[in-house]
Amino acid sequence: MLKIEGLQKQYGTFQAVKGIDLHIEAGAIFGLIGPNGAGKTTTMKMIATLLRPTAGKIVMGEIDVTRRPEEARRRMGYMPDFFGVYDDLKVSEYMEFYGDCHRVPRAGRERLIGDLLELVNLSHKKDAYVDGLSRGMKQRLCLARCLIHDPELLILDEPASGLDPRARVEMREILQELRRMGKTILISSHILAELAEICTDIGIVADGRLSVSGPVGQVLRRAGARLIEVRVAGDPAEAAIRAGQLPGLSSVQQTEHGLRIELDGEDEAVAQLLAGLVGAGVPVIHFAELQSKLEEVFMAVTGGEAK
Amino acid sequence: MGGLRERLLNPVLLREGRVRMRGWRAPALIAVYVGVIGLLLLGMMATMNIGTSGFAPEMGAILFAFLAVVQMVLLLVAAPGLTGAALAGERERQTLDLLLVTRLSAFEVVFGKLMAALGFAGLLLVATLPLYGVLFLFGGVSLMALGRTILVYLATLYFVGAIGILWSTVLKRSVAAIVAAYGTVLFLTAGTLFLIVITFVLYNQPENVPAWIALPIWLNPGVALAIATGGPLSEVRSIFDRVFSVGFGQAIWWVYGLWALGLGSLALWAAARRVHRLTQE
Repeated sequence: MLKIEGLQKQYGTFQAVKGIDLHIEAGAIFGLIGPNGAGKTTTMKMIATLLRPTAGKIVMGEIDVTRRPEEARRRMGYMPDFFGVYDDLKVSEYMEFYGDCHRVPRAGRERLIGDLLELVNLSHKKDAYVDGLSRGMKQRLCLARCLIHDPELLILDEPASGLDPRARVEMREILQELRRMGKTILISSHILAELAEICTDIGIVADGRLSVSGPVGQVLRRAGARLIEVRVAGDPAEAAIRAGQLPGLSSVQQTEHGLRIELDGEDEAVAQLLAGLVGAGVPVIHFAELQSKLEEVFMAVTGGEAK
Repeated sequence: MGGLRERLLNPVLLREGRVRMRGWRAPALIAVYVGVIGLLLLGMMATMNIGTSGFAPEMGAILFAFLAVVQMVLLLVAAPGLTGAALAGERERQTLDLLLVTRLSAFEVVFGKLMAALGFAGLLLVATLPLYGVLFLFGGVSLMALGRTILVYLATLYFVGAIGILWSTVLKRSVAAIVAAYGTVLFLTAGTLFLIVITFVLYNQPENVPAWIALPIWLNPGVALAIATGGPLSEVRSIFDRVFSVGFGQAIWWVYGLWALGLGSLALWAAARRVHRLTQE
C-alpha cells in the first residue's frame, strides 16, 4: 500500500529526516513512534504531499506521491496534530465544505455525512458549531473529515494528543472500526501505550531515522526475552521451584502472588510454557505477557526520551 | 467524481460567503458603511444649502463627485482589510494544510478568497446605490458617468484585493499582511502623486518630463476616478493635460482599468504560485 525508500528532508543545514525506509501493507495500522522532534510529523507531511522530500521516494499503491500529488490526495486522508477551526461553521457545514473541496458528489452526500458522523459518535452534534465542541469531539470530527472522500490511506498525526482517557478509548475504537472497513492507517504518537494496543505494525523513529520497524510482536522480540506474569492459587515458592525445572526459560522470579518468567521464542514457546506449568501441577489462575518490553525497546532506541 | 455544478462552485467562496453573512456583523457593517456615506452626503447638502427637491444640475454634479470620492476612500480602506488576512488567517487558524490536501488547486483557493472579499465589498457598493438615485433628482449626473465610476470601483477592488491576497501569501501574520496591503494602497494613491510632482519639479519644464510619467498616473485610482466621474473632478485632467499629448488623457479611466485588471491578475497568479510552492518546500 505504501512504500517509502530513502526518505530525507533537509531545512537549510538542519536535516529533519535522515533516511527512512518503510513498507506498510494494505489494511495495516502502522504506528510511528518517537520522541518530539524525531521527524514523525515531517515524514507524515511528506507522505501527505504537504512537503517535498529532499531525497527519496514515496509510492502509494502505484502512485509516486511526489510526482503525482493531486492523484495521491484523492486516495489519502490527512489529520494533522492540531485542529484548525473556522468560526461560525456548524458540524454539518464543516463536513459539507470539505466534501466540496474533495469534489464529493452532492447527491447522497447528506447521507454520507450522517454515516460518518455516526461512525465518530457525533450525530447528535450535527447542528452544533464546531467552535463549541470539546477537544475530543473536534478530533473525532477531524477524523470524519478525513474520510469524506473515502480514502484508502489515513495519515493521522498524534490523533489522541491532549485527549482525556475516555476520549482516547473512543478514538481507539473508531480506529479499530476503520481497520475493519479496510482502511490502511499510519498513525503517530509519542505515547507508547496508545500505539501498542491498536497497531499491527510499529516503527520507532529517532533522530530522523527509522531505527526499528515491523509487526508489533516482532519488534517486541527484538528487545530480547519475553516477560510473562503468572499468578498462582497456591504457594508462589513451590510454583517457582516447579517452574524452574521447565526447559527453555531464561529466568524465573518469585513475586508476592506468583511468578515472573522470562523466555526467548515465538508464541509457541509461550503456549508451551503455559502447558508446562499446568503439566507440572502449578495452580495457574492468571497468565499474561507484560507489554513493558516495547517501552524498553523504545528507551533503548531513543536514548531514554520516552514519555 | 462530481458533476459540472460541483466543479464550477468554488467551495472557499461558498464557505466564506456563508460565514461572512452569518450573524449581526455583516448587516451592521453594511448599515454603518451606508450610514457614514449617507451622513456625509447629508452634511454636504446642508453645507451647500440646497433642498431635496428642484432641478439643480451643478449641485447634483458636485454632490456626485463628493459621493464618488467618499465611496472610493471607503472602498480603499475596506478592500485591504478584507483580503489582507485571507491566506495569513488560514495559516494562523491552522486550516491551510487541510485545504492544501484536498483537490482544490492553489488558484482555486486564492481566487475563492478574493471573490469572497470582493463579493462583500461589492455588496457595500450596491447598498449605496440608492444614494446615487437621490442625486439623479438634482440632475447633472449621467448614467454613463455613474457606469464609468462603478467600473473604476470594480477595477480598483479587484486590483487592491489581489494585492491584499498576494501580501497574505507572502507574510505569515495577518496584521503584517494587512499593513503591507495598506502600504501598497498608500503608494498607489499618495505615492504615485508624489512621484509625479517630484518628477515635474526635477525636470523643471513640462516638455522635458519623460514619457514614463504616464505610468504612475495610470496606476492612480484617484486620478482614474476623477476622469471617470467627470463634472467638477474632471478639472484634475487639466493638471495632466501637458503630460498626455497622444490622446490617452481622454480615456485614462479605462487605461487604468486595464492596468488594474492586468496587475491584479498578475498578483493573483503570483499568490497562487506562492500557495502552490508551500507544498514544494
